[in-house]
Amino acid sequence: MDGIKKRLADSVQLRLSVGLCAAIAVVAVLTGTIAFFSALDEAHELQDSSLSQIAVLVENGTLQAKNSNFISTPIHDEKGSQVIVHFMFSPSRYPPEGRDNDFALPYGLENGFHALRVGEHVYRVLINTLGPDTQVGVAQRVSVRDEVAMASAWRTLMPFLLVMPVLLLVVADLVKKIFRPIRTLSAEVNRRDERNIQPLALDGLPREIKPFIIAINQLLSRVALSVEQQRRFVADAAHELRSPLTALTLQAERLAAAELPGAARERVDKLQQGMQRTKYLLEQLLTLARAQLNNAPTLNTPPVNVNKIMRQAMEDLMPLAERKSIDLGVADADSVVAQYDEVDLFTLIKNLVDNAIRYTPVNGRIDLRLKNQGHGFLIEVEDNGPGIPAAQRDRVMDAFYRVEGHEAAGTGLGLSIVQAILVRLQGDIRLADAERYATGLNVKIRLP
Amino acid sequence: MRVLLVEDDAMIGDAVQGALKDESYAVDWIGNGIEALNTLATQRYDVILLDLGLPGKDGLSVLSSLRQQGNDTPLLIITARDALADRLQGLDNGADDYVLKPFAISELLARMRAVLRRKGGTSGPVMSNGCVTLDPATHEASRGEGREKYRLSNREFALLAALLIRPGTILSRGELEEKIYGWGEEVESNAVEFFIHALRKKLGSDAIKNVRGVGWMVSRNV
Repeated sequence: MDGIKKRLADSVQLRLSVGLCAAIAVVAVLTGTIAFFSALDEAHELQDSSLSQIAVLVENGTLQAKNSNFISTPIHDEKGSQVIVHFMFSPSRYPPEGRDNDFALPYGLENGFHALRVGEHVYRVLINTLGPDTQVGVAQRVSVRDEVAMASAWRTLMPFLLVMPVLLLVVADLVKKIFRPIRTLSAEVNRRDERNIQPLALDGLPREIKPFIIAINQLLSRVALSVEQQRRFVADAAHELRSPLTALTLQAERLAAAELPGAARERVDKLQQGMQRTKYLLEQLLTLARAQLNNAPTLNTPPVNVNKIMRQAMEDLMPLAERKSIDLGVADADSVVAQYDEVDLFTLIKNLVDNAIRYTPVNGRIDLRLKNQGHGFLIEVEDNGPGIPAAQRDRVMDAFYRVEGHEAAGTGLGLSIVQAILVRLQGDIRLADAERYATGLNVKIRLP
Repeated sequence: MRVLLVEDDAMIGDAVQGALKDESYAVDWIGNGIEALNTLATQRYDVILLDLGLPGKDGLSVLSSLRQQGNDTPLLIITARDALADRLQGLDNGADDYVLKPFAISELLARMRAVLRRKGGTSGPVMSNGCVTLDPATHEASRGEGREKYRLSNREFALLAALLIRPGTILSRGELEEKIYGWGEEVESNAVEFFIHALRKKLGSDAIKNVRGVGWMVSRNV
């Protein structure tokens, strides 16, 4: 019961359906009952009035008084359904004599309608005094009357009984149809990911819901604005940090160039390494903020040679790969020309490969592949490093997330940058185990 | 060599000035765009280092006024603005190169030397990536200063020079073939591999790196 109550409280649609159906049922029962009983009543009255009319016919002599019953033809083809006209005489004037009919009433009843038992049946009897010592009784079996009256009452009720289930179905269907736009809308909102804060469409929505959706849209736009401001803040902050960091690195470099005792030199080296990391983190932060910032894909960009961009990214990363003696190469490349922003593609490929280099151990191997595919193309980066456990693959796109068991060589931003660019370019990424090595990560990027 | 440094950030200005003095450059340091233009109207410098975000007059306006006045002193932009549009605008306005903050002094010095070489019209006396050195005048290559020098054939020289123009650039087989063969010359198959093998024999096997599936390069920043 509680479950139903809770569902009723939760769902306007259910409440509306149940409420409407209940109202219809109550009204139907009420009107049905009233109609039934008034029809029953009317039928009885009709029957009474036909008894009265027969009595009048007897009174004005159309039917002769005689000492026997006049029996009408049966109303139905049923025994006992006839109207019986019975004459009664005062015993003082007409002493009782042998009467052969089985329907007999005593003399001396009051005028008017009576319910009398004669033999095994109960009769509705209209008594009328015709003259001194003579009465006439017009009788009809109650069971027959009731049967006829009931039949007529049921006939009145029938349309209600037939229409009510149809009405219930129609109401249920109507309510469902009315709520369809809301269901469609909620399904759409459900399908969205957290980065999509576009306003909801208002077309086809009922006027009652529109203000609500408009309010939600206003909220969404305020959220979008604040997200934008935060991203701008990250970009601005990273940008502002550049000058002091430049000053620091320059001073450290001059310090390193000066004559230093061994211990001091070691510390300056450490200092410079730390600054190098800070610089890299700053650059990655800026790149991420920029990748997230303008979400509109640039239109009308000229087609670019993806192979060339891939080569430029590799040129940028070769020193890093060489330092770790990693064999970075292209295993297979179609020549691909695509209509994308050059900087986006470069940043995308560079961060993918950069990530692979950072997480592949010394003397490892990284293969790049570039393939044309019906609509769009595929960039594949595969390494023979330790790979990423399947359970952690969903999380590696999160900013600053690092795979467990790695003392972070990177900033934890590379794949977030890749993801942000993919959102803009409407591409998708798939992380899997290496296909050609025993261990390692295989990253496939599909761009439309 | 006289250098004009236009930079409003005191710490950066101080560090750059100091580092350049260490390298025996004569450095004048100005922190304001208008002052920079005034100074340049009367003084001649060999190279200008120009920050973009300047008080008084923005770096890009300083640059365009300078070029409009017919001053073609080699000029490097030092900027924290790394958006492509900003960089292109700088180069379009007549800058010779740009250095992105944060940068290392060694990078700044290398770019200054490159700009000076280009403006001077010569490709410089010696090409080097810090590991392999090539003298265009004598076609002699060596593994670093003071090591044994090898005389290269014309085609070996052309190939190594192509790689050393911009260390770190990967050149494909086709691109290298274009460099070592003139127009109309018939390209022998495996010629690139043959000459690279010869060069490696003289200079060491890691002097020229093969990048699997792409081409060849000499390392940068060794």
